[in-house]
Amino acid sequence: MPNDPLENLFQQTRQELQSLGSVLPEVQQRIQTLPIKPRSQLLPRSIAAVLVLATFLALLITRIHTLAPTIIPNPDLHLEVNGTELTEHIAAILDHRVVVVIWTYRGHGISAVPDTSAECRAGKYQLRTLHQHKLPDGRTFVCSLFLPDPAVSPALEPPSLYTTSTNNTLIACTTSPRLATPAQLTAAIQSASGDGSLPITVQDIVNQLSKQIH
Amino acid sequence: MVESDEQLVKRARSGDRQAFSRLVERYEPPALVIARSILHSWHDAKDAVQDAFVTAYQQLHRLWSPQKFGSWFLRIVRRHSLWHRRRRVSQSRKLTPMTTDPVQPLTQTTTLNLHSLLARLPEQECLVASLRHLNELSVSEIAQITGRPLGTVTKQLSRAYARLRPLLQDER
Repeated sequence: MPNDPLENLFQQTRQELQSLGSVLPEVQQRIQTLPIKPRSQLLPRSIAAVLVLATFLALLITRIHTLAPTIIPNPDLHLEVNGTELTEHIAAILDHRVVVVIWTYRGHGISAVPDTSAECRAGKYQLRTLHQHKLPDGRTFVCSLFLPDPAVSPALEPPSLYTTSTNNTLIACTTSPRLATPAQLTAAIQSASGDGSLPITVQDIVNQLSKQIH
Repeated sequence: MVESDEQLVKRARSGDRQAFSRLVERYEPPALVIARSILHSWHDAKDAVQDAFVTAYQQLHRLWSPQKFGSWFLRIVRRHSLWHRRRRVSQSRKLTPMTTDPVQPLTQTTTLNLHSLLARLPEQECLVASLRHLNELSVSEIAQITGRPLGTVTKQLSRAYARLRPLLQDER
């Protein structure tokens, strides 16, 4: 639009700018000796630091949550030593002399003695781990079987649970064996599992006990 | 094919002075017009723009989004122009203490209106209108340079015209 006043004004300014000459030669001359500074790394580094910190805090909070003590309804025994948590849910006397202990433990580098399918001596008892598995809340569920030596009464000379840590520290905990019905044993297993599931049934225990004795 | 501001800034950062010269050629007209609107003198405007380009070159590492070089640079131009004006005022006071209005322009031209009108536009609209009418770039070239969608550039141009026309009427 040649008669547009705005366009006329722009055209006039363009002509004026052309007659002025460019600042480019002067600018080129002045920047010739100036060094280019490297792009600042401060902001990306700050963002990275914040992200690392946030991740660390999230992990810490999650870990605290994971390590939070689980409320166990009426456990027979609950022990916490140096970050290790050990809970005996039931120590049931079966067949008048064999002791089955349902227990859980938690702690860094801690493991039950002995491992699953292994057998060892524990005082006046032959000790066998019938079942062991990690629970979602970080605890480990264990079902241990204690076979007493002849003439040993579990009520008078109760067996002990053992856990060992990576630095070979042994933690022992004496159980309190008592007579229990299958329903009480099932309830204790459910309580130990935390979510009401049955990692091992009473029937499984009895079957393994039969194999062990015969 | 027009090189975008982003590409030129990246090349300039890696030490390519030729790329920076391309940016100088591109942004000299809008920068001069803005500086002229503040300083009312082409001579002073050229000085301020020259200083602004040198500052931009030195501060190029601080520009976080290279595609926003245009608006970032025009802000530097405004700052330098204001600084030049302050310096000129203080010098005038020293030289002629009895002068009543030292900011009075030494020379007036008929195109004074356009500078003041463009300077009154929002930053983005001023940039787009200057690139379109002073650099005589097409809308698609402006879109490529600034890294904005074609529709956005068209809208900003329309808004700039809509603002400029009533302002022009008022000036007359």
